[in-house]
Amino acid sequence: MAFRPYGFTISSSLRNASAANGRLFSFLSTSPSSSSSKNLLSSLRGFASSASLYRQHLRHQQQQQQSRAKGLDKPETMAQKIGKSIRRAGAPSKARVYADVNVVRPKEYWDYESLAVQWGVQDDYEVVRKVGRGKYSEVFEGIHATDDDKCVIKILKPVKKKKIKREIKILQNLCGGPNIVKLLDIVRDQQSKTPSLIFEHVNNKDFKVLYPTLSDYDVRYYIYELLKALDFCHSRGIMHRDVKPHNVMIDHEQRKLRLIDWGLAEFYHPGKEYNVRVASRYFKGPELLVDLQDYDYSLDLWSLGCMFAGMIFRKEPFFYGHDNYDQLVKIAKVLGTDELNTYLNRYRIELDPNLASLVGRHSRKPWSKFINSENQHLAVPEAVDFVDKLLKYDHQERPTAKEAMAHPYFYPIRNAESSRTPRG
Amino acid sequence: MELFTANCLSTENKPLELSKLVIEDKSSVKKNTESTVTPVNHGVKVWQENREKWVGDQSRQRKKTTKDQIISWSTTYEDLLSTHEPFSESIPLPEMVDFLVDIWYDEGLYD
Repeated sequence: MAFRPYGFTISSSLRNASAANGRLFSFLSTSPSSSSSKNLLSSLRGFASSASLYRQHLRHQQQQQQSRAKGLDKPETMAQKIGKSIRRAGAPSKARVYADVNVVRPKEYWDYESLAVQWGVQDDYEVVRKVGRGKYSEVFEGIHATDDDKCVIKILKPVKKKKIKREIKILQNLCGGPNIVKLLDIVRDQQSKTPSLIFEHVNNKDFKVLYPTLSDYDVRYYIYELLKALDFCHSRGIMHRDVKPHNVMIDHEQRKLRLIDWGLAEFYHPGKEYNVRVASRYFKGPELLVDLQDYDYSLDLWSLGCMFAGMIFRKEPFFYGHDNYDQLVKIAKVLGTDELNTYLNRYRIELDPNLASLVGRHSRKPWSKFINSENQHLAVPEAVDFVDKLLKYDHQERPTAKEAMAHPYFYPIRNAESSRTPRG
Repeated sequence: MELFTANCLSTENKPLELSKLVIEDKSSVKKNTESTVTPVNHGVKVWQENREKWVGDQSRQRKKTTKDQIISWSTTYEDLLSTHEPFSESIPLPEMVDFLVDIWYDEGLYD
């Protein structure tokens, strides 16, 4: 088939044509006899016969059918009535630990925008199967064709260069850290400039399958491994901002854990106001849901708390909100509204009245109410005490990753570790 | 995966090396706060070494068997990417990128 070499030229010129598409038709409706539009139209007809355009057409139809089926056209209702919370001056927030990591490091460490990326060639890689899809990427299991080594290939969708540089810079800075996924190569498509990140391969088992099989000891072990990764990135001045089971790869046979997807991770600078549109809904900390922008590493400890609660109570997700406002409601129904108000007052936050009424009034629900015959082997007293410490409204009251690792829940893990490592 | 275990990519096999790295890094930061010694960004150094090892000998070029196009002209996103099952044969990365770029244009991601 001699299609391949043409495929490139056709599809790239087609891209220009389809970009002009929208403009063309609006133009046609006002002046159908214009000569320039005729030229464009005839060239478009030429493209229409190409396989690629047909493929696009088919896909477009499919997508429309799907979005209708899913009811994606349905407009949001309640969410539109709720405004932003108000934050009054005078109660700033700052990380309790590692606050100055990037202050003392040279600009070059955290100034990701000035990173000059050295792109490798993508020709040596092949994709074997799809393993995931994110908002910003398509992820594949792949092979390095020169030596048949397995890897994971993350093809990035078009986003701002700045965001791509941030992810690469962070992965480079954290390279070699415990349980941080290893970036192996960065390559780019010459024509479309599409970047692909090449990672170490992890033989992951879907958490929905794996988690229900884990023992009490396993849960302690993996949460401890995850805390190592979090303490490491925090100590390097970086918050992950998207901790959730999907981003924790576990090779259970090798008892190997990797924290992946650093696409939302960011450098911490004390006093900086960050975007609260980070993390996935069920794992969003109260700080994000009440628009507190000077948040810090402690956000990751909340997300970890949600994940951990899901594991020990066998309830995934633990806080099951239908939108970001409902997410706060779901949290308030467990942690109570008096405690929420204490938090809001401390940081001088006023919720929009519509959100406040949506949240309503709830008393704190004791953790024991979540224990049942299915989860009692996991929701042991130390586990419940630990979840209680992580899931605090006030981000400053949550333990740091290092403090969390010292919790009695992890005594069995630490004992096993110290007996394995020879002293001296 | 031989490559991995042979170098410091694999931290679990080299716990001593990593802890050394962490200590070095800490001490260099401390120095910096006292004097003007610049802390070395160990992560970037490790990354560069790892990448060289992973990419390997560039002169040992891949056997360039010019494969036929694998993704058919009529293949839709759903046809190819709705499952996690392995493809019938592996697809060169440039071809997959080309396929996805077409879809992303169609979705308006380049507007």
